[in-house]
This record gives sequence, structure tokens and C-alpha cells, in this order.
Amino acid sequence: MHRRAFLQSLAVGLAGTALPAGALAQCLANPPLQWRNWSGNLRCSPRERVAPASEAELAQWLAKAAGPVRPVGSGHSFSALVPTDGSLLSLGRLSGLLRHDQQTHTATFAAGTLLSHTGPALKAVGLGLKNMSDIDYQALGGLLATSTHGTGIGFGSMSTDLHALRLVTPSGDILDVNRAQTPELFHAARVSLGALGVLSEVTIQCQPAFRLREHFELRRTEEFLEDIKALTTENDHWEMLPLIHCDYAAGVWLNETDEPAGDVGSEDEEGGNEFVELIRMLHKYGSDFPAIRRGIMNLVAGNVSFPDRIGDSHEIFANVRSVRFNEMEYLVPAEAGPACLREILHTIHSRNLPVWMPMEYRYVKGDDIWISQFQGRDSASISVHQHFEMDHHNYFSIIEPIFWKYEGRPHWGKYHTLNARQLRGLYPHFDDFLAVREELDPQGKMLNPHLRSVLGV
Amino acid sequence: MGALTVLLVTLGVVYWEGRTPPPPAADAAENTAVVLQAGSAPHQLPPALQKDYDQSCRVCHNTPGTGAPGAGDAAAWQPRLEQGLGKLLEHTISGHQGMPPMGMCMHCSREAFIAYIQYMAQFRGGEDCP
Repeated sequence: MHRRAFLQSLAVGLAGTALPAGALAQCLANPPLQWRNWSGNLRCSPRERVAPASEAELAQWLAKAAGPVRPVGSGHSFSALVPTDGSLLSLGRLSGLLRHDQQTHTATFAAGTLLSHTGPALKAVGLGLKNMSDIDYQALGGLLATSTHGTGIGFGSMSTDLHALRLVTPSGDILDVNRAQTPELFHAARVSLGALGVLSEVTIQCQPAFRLREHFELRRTEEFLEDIKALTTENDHWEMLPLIHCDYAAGVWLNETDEPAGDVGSEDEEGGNEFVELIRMLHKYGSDFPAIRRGIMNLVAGNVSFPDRIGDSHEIFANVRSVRFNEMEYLVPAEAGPACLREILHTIHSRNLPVWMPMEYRYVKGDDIWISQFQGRDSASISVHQHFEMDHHNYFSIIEPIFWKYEGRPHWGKYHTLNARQLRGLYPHFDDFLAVREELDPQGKMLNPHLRSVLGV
Repeated sequence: MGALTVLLVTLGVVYWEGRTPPPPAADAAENTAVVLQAGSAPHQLPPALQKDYDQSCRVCHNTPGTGAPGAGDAAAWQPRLEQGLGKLLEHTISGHQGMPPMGMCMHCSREAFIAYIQYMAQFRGGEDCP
């Protein structure tokens, strides 16, 4: 297929749609759409947007693309990995379960598949992901490129469950990558920030389908921290959401169970969305009276309870987040987690910072992926969130130095201000990754300003 | 007793917030010459648009409780349509409250977004465009 014909085939909605002629004509005359990420804090005006429908089309297009090219999944990253004035390459049409193996419990997905679509597809073949992040809007290609993770000290990031992958290089070659045959590339490509090319297929190590019981309970944050070892080692997955301007945190226990599935509750109730809404209103009406607000928050937090939920793993792992936000997340050595969290909470409270969204505190097992945030160390994941309509820069700029003090590594997909000068010191294999990048993309076709900054190229 | 009072006050605040009417649709009447009617023209998506719909819009608009108006829910769509198709398209592209920009379809065109809005609200028409 010629490039022009191919690009024409990418245009959406021109065939078979019954649109009002006036609106169509007027809309077609408008300038190209501006791209924004999920929270709206990032935007760009790409020269073109393309969405290949097959790996072959992707390779053909990428080989001829002038660059810069930036791949995008669901646009859920808060760091500027995607923005480009060149070509925005959507993975949205590369989706679905391609094949699976019942013997090895592996499943191969097209890289644009949304995480939310993997659960039902895997369940239909008797499989389930071993762990998941608590938001499932992301596309697999993007979440793997940024070492996205769930919680559980016995579980690595989702990139550690990558069994194999297919990488379309900037020159249009298609590489099969796995630990046995291409070990160096495997270490580099499992978390690559989309700097090595574009993932087309990912083969994920799964396990037989299973159910989870979720227990959700509020306790004093200090009570959780004092019991942290037992909570993290005696449960499959445990995390907490420390409430701001309050002494309490919401703990979430997830454990595999053979009990039958029950009512998993409404989507609104998932992840305590209604409780989050209550907190928002207390901030709205009580921010000028911090002592009273804190008293009410503590009183409410000490008097609410939530029923347990039992369901298929994918239904329990992920929650609907109906409130958009911006997020900064750092990974600190696991043993430093409680002290780092205490200092952040103390800073928020002592300075009465204008924020109401809960924090998130999780644990992740260390791995051997070259630029994974978890490389070489078990980690405590600490996230701060700000409602998308509220200023996040001041808040994050006050908190970020606390993470540095505890040798934190920023989540690649979340807001941070580090560049290659600082990041090189945090990753022993930083230059190994750069060597692979240079070999695959000597012309820098896959780079945008953010990547040039964090990689130093 | 004191704790109960505080709890009741809190719940009262929650109730009051909940009953606060939404802001009126700004200049709704001026934005559209014809008031669009949700549910007035049932139709299906053309096959060319179905996969992108399934990959993006369906995630929220076919999932109860997400806060997004459900596909085919005329009652939920009508007050939104009264703001004009142009405003809905603007919200779709730029994001609005819980709605992420571009509805998570990174390659969809304006025409496709209009078709998805028409499909979910089940109507035809709307001549404005942001």
C-alpha cells in the first residue's frame, strides 16, 4: 500500500457515516486537533496523527517516517513522554488478545490493548494477570514502557511479567525480543519509554484465573505504619491511601480466595469514590478552618466501614477513577518508605498545603530491568495527587525534594523535574540503556524534548 | 452526642452540596438554532467506527456508575445536547470534568467524535462546530 493510500485509510469516519453536511464541512476546515493527555496538563499540536491497523503497516510507516515520532497509548502519563510537533503514533488500532498458551499460562496481546480489556479476554481462556495497577485505562504498550505497577512486596511491576515482546525499530525492522535469545535488548526494551521503537506485541506471563477478596478499612496512618511489616508480608497485596489533613488512611487488602464471587458493588463505590467526594466537599467548605476540618475528617474516618468484595481478579484489582488528577510518584527503598511518608504528611499538614486528594502508598518487588524504577531494590511507592483543576506545581515542588532525600526514583510516567544528570546516578545501567538506544535509533527519530532531557541525548 | 452532631452537620453539608443545582447551560439557546433531541433518531454506528468506539468511548459510556452519560440514555444526554453539539465536541476534544480529552481515542477525527456523540445520544443534526 502506498503511503498516501495508507494515510488516507487512517482517516476515521469518512466512510459510511451519516454526518450533517454543514458540520462536516466546517469541521474539516478547522486546524488539526490539539492532543492532550488524560489529566489535561500536557498538550501538543502534532503535524500528523497516524494509527496503523497492523504490525506490518506500523513497520512500513515507521521505516519511512521522518520523525520525530512519539507513540501514544491512552495518554495516561503525566510526564511529557508523548508531546511532539512531529508524528503522533496511536496504538489504538493494535488491540486484542492474539493468542495464548494454556501450558505456559502466557498470553500475547497487541500492544495497544487497554488494560481494562485484558481481564475479560483472559478470563474467557481461563487466565488472569498476576497483578494489576489500580487504574486500568492505560494501554499495555504505554504501561509497560513506564514500568507501571500494582502493589505487593512479592510482585514486581507489570513489566516484570513480560515473557517476550515484538519491537518495531525506528528503521522499520521487527525484532523478537526475549530473555534467552536477546538478553541485553530484553533488559532494555521491557521498560523503554518508547525510545527504542514501538512495541507491537507483548507476551505476558499470566496465571490460572483467580478471584480476590478486597477488604477496605480506615485506621490511623500511624497504626498502619507501626504494623507495616505484617501488613505487607502476610497479604498478597496491601496498600494504603493516607488521607490529607486527617490522621487516618484507607487500607486495602487484596488476597486470593476460593470463595465464590459476590456483589462487587457499583463502579461508584469502587476505590471509595463516594468517600473521595466527601473529602472534596470538606476541603471546599473547611479549608479556612483547618482544625475543625481535621476534627470532622477524623470523626468521619473513624466511623465509616465498607463491605468486603469478592470477584474475578481483574474486577477487584482495578477501580474506576471518575475524578481526574495530576500525580507525582517516587519509588524509595522499601525500608525508607515509612519515614518518607511521615515527612511528606508532616509537610502537608504543617504548611496547610491546599490539597485534598489522598496519597497512595504501595510496595513493589525489585527487578533486573535496566531503567525500571525498581531495578535492584524492593521499593515503597509513594504518590501525591492534585485535582486536575487545582495548581499542582507548587504542591509537587514542595514535596519532590523530600523524595530526593530518600534516594527516590521518579515514576517515568508521572510528573517529575529530574534530567539525565540526576537520573544517571540513580540507575547503574543507565548508560547500557543509552547504548542500546543509540544502536537502534542513531538519528533520534523517537526522541522529543522530554526524552532528550531525561536521557541526556 | 457531640460526635453525632458533627456527623449530622457533615451529612447536611453533603446533602446541601448534592442538591445544589448545576450551573445553567451557558447561552444554550444561542449556541444552537435547533434544540437537539436525544433519542429522536435511533441508529447504529457504521462498521468503520465500531472498533474505535469499543476501544475508547465504550470504556466509560457503556459502564454504569462512571459518571459518563450512558450510550442510549436519552434522559442523560438531553441536558447536554441542549448546550449544543459544538459545546459537546469541545468537551470531547479538550476534556471536561471526568471526561478525558479525546475520550482516550488519540487518532479519532472531529467527524468521528460527532458520529460517536450522535450514536450515544441517538440523534441526527447539529450544525455547529467549535
